[in-house]
Amino acid sequence: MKQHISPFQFSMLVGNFIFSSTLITQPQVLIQLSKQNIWIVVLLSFCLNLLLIPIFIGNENNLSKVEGIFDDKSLSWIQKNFAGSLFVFFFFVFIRDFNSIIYFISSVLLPKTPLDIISILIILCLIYISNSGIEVIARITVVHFFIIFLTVLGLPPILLNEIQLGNLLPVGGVGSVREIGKSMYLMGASIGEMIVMFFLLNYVKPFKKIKKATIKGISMFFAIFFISSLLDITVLGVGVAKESTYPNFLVVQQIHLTDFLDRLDLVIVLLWLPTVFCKLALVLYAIQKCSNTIIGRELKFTLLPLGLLLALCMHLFKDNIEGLEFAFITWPTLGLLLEVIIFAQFLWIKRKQTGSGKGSKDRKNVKA
Amino acid sequence: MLTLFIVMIILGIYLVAIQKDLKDADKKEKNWVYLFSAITGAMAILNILPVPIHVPIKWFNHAVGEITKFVIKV
Repeated sequence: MKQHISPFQFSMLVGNFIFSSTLITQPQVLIQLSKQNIWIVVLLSFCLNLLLIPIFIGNENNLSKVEGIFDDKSLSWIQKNFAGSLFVFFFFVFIRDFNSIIYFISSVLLPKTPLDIISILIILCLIYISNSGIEVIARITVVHFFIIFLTVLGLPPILLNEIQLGNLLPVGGVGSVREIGKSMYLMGASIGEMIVMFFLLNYVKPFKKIKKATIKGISMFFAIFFISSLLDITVLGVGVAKESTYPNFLVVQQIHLTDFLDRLDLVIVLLWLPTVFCKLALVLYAIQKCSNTIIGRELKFTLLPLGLLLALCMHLFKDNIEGLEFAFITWPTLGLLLEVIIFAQFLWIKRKQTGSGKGSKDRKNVKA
Repeated sequence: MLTLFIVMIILGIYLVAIQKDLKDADKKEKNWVYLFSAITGAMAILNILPVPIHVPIKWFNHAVGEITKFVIKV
């Protein structure tokens, strides 16, 4: 039986997909470029996104025509190409995020545990979640994303005694427009990761409120990313934040509520880690679905070997520095390129389906 | 070596566990499962050999990363 997710779950999946890894891959490089103006970058990116969403989704009624791309057995070459592009995109997202999270855990939480042990334990957990299907992934994502959303909203009052608003000054400044433009280019690929919705559209029911759901998910992401960016600057200052690999982790380490509540950072990290696991489980699920579509068969037993293979791909990065270089420098261009290709293919498929009248109604009739 | 050992144990246990289900599955599905398992095993072996498997990412960092660096510099 085909699994379905609601528009609300769809919005949470999209929001979590962008948020969970952006938190460790973006702030440092953005602060290095735009300095204290990072919050302007986030606001402008949000406005740009609100303009892009109607273009991405278009007419909601036409979306039903692209439903079932991954279930059709007689796929056209453009549909196979689309699945192939998504496969490449998800593959790069997986190895980038998996590498980031392994090195983050290794450097912050478990410094004495071998990397291979951490990676095998995490991939087994991801395989278990992915094997349960998209409905289970959606349910656990809703729970964890909502918890981290509330936690980040609660951070400003907790850090009130550490916040120095003077760090935000001067607003703008000489050459700031150029710096903001460059930062928006770097942030483009991360925000463009919302194209995961092209994959998720296959499972959403009903389609009616899809535009609202996307805007809701993206808005939640921007709200918490805006707060975390502001806290990076106001608590740490530009000087410290741009030199730190994980400024957000450094911010939560500054929480000193009383003399005995000094290690709240571990609690917050433990609330954030499951959101990354949810994202990676979704990516693993998507990779398996895309590979099945390319192969042209519904393979049930390949998830474990495929998951282990992806975990071993961690060794494609020589060390953490190469991984960080990939996430900070290479991904903004590579990701943007892949996202543009996928978007163009999606538009092509949508237009073709609409033009030929080969919609979901026809498909349903065939199935019946 | 540790990775190879763990991966082989996991794959071995998995293949034994799904043996009954694989008997019912068609031949092509069986072949795909064995192919994926073989690729995973090969990747684990490559990790312990002095093979420069990080070359593709290094190339990406060099070629595509240069474009980003160019945009940032402009």
